[in-house]
Amino acid sequence: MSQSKSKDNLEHFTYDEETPKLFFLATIIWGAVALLAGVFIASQLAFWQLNFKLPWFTFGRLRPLHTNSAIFAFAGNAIFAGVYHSSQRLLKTRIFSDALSKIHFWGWQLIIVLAAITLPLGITTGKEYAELEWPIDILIAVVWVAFAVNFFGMIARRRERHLYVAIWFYLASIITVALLHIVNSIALPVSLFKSYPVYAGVQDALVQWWYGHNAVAFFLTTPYLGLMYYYLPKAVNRPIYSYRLSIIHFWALVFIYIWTGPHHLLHSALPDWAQTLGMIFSIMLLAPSWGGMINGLLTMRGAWHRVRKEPILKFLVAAVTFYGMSTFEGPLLSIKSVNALAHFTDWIIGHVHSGVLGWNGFMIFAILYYVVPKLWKTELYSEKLANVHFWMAMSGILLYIFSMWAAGITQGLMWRAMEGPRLVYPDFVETLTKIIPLYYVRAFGGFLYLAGYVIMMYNIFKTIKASKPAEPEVYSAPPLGKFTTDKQGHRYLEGLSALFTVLVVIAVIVGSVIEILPTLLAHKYYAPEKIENVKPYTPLELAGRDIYIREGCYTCHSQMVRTLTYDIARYGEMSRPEEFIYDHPFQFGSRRIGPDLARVGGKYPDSWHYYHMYDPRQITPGSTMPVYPHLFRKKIDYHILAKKLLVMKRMGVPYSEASISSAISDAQDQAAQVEESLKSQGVKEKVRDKEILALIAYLQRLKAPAEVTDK
Amino acid sequence: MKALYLANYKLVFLNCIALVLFFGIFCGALAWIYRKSSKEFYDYMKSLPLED
Repeated sequence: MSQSKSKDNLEHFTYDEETPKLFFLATIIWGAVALLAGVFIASQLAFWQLNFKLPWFTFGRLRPLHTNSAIFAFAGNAIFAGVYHSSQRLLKTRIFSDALSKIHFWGWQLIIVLAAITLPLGITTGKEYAELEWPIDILIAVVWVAFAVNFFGMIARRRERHLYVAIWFYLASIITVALLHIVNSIALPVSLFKSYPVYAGVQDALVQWWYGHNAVAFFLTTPYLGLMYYYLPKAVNRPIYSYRLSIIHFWALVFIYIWTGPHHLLHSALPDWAQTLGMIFSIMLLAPSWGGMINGLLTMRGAWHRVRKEPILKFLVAAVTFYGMSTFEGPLLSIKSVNALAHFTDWIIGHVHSGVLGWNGFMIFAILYYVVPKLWKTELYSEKLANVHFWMAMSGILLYIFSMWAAGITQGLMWRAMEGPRLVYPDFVETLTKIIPLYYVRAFGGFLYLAGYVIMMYNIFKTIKASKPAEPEVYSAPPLGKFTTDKQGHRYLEGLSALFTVLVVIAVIVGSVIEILPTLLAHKYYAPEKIENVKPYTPLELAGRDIYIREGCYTCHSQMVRTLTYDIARYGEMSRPEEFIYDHPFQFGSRRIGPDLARVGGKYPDSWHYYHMYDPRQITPGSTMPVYPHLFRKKIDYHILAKKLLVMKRMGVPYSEASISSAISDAQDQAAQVEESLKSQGVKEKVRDKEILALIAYLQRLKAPAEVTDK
Repeated sequence: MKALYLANYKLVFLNCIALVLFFGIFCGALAWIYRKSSKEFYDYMKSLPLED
């Protein structure tokens, strides 16, 4: 029994310490995996040989594994640990249900394991940070509901009437992540391991980046702000500087953040009004973000001298500072003219890592060093090692960020350098080889961060090992009295947690609807029949497109010629929304480690692609692209094509019944044509029915649409 | 019809109303949150994490 009542009307209860403990341990383990994967793929970009000629070791397949493990496994488990640990204390109640806690913990670990298996196998939706296929998406939704019920159950059973600001941030995160995940993951399955999103092209891009940026907002920011508002005062032993400021911080952040997604699509085929809206709201976001940072840093007043000695405070101060810096850099990068330089470059990668490694990572380390000794009822094994960890991690991050800034700005400037109508660096690979030395620095920075992490693991292992079993502490608090409505203002609002939740939902939904709905409706106004090249993919091209997605080509190649002169000079006619109308999912990409491919069709003969996929350096000396020998061994799966076409048809792609029933033979015929073409260009190897043929067919399909005619 | 309407949208005053509305709500919220009478309550709220 976890609670009892005494004569003095106090209820005596214990907290569930096991669930936070499990989540903290999972955080430590998965953090190591995420960082190891990060250092490995960073090294692959410096030394392409590390792709090992193995399909499941290529950068394109491992990069999603790194991002998913860093966000959902490392940062995710830390959120759950911190939320369960702090909410029990702030609400003065035990976690709602032990059974739900178990479902939550083991369910989430199962999701991570499934991600770790499926992503290297190439089972992916091809949407960044939402790569997991539909059965895992459903599992995520179920586990998230378990978490939500557990959390709202705690609120319902609380003994503290008013909800501290940390609880608001948790609440907003839980609600909004559920909304984002469900809306972005709506897809029609083709098989257990393959589905297509219901959105297409520009629609899909907007929904995806509405999700993608708000995953940063409501998974990597708001829960961590909640953790900051709890653990920073605890560690400093002083109340937060301004509670008033925290209220403004919360509401402004929740309302503004949801609108900012389109800044990932500036100068693209997204309607201009949506781009501008995204930019403006991103700039506005600076105010509440810095309000939060200032609130955090001013909480340190009178305690700054302790930062010199205490590693926990070092990590906290650095984390909040990184929050401030990355929320300054984010709005800066959202300004269209800055974005024109920075987008698709490593500057963005540096920005993301200052957030995740600096803000989230340092906040997690501070919490771990603070909580582990308390939960295991012992002392930290070594403060000295924790200080060493801090300086190694800080050096690692700075090397990482500076190298990525330098690489990004260098490459961005080289892409845009023009003399009259001509590009100064017309060969893309020239702009890549120039930044490879910076990739060595980045990999070393990542290695330092990982090495510091290993020291932390050792420190925490020794701390836990030194602990002894202890009786659970018993806490006392009066039960929650009947709620009266004589309280005014925000105090009244906090007492009504259901109303509070509704207001959060409204704040989030307003921005989402205004921004997304017009784009969802806009497809009606496109006229694809007017554009000669905009027609559904042939069955073989569709098979090739799925191979392109499976191999994670989008992690290095964009398919979006921006409206910028130098993009047009390099790649050809700018992209239009109409040309993506049958793209489920869109493949705009977010980084150009290789050139844009939107206009690659017809640019080279089939044999160029053949040899390029077999050994990229044979065609492009200096390239860091992996080799793909498995595409020359593996056969095209013809039998699933009819089903794929049928699913596409259900989503509005105009395939006829005849084209669906002849999908296999049509694909075989087209593959034979590509094979013939390769033979005529001197390819001697037998590649009948091999996947390389489908990929070539798809790449040759990527062309500028013909002129629009107004018939 | 709808496309034509959207292409020729000139109701800029709606944008202005929206701006004034948003800014007004923000200023109102600011005044409400910073009113002096709520100091006691905010002091109580600030102390919550330090209680356990």
